[in-house]
Amino acid sequence: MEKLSPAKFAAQIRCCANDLQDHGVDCLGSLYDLTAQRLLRYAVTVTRNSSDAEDAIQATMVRIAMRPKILATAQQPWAYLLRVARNEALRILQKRKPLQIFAQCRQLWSRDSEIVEENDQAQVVRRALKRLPANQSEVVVLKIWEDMTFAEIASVLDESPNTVASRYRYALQKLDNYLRPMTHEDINV
Amino acid sequence: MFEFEDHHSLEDKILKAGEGAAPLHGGHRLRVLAAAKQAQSRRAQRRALVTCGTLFLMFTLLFLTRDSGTVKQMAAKSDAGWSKTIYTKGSQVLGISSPASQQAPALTDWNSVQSTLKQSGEWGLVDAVVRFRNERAGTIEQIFNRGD
Repeated sequence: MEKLSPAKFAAQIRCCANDLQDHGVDCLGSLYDLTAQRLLRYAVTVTRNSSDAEDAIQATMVRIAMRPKILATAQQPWAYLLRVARNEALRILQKRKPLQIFAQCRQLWSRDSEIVEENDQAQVVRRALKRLPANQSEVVVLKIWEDMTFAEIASVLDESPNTVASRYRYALQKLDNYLRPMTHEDINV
Repeated sequence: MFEFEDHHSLEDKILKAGEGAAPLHGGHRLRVLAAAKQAQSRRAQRRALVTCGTLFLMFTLLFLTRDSGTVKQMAAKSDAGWSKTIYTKGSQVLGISSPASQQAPALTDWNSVQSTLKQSGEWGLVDAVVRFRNERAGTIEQIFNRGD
């Protein structure tokens, strides 16, 4: 995943949106290639499973393809895209609410098995992120993986920057607690 | 006490964990593009349907309101018991013909008037009718208006 500066990334998104507006759905591929991976990474933190996240990305792309003008004229196109993806992810979760109890059972089961299976440090961190409440893990993802400011995150989540900052602080505290035993193990080894 | 400075290494770890965190499936791109095209065609169909519906509605309304534009006679002077003609357009009354324009003189069947009055026992009126018939003084309405 190529890391671009936020301004350059926003400019590229805007460019793709303009292409989409001028030439239609055929130009959606470039926007997809530019953003899908990062959007998916964020959507997974909301939906907690990759298939729902992929569905959310599909719905996001279709929505943008139908109305590219909004994205082209948005002040912060990346924040706008993230917000659309979040809304779609939440909509999917809302639809699947009756089935959520089974998903939670499955998640508990996989949490037990992961202790045995995981050995890669990145995977351990990702699993620790999954253990956080969704509203905290999405703040961490947006802050660290998307390199956004608290104000930008607040605009995506429709919360105050103070709330976002405190969620971030709590999330890091929890992650520190989750990951500390592993660090001690590493040191001992 | 929690300190942000203590968490630089943790942030680095999380940042590294973000690389390749959620790989996309191979067919996802194609699926998304197909869905977008499908949505676009559905939208075009819906637009065409809305346009056709609007046109149909417009023409129907035009056809229905076409007749109400013409001037109609609500009550003609030839109708029994009514001496004027009312001209209307839709619900608007355009005018009423004046009685002066009534050209045809009222022809009174004096014999039937006389026999009717006789049956009613109004002998004074019978006399008046007979007198007016003889003098050709006017219509039956004029007789009644005078109060003879």
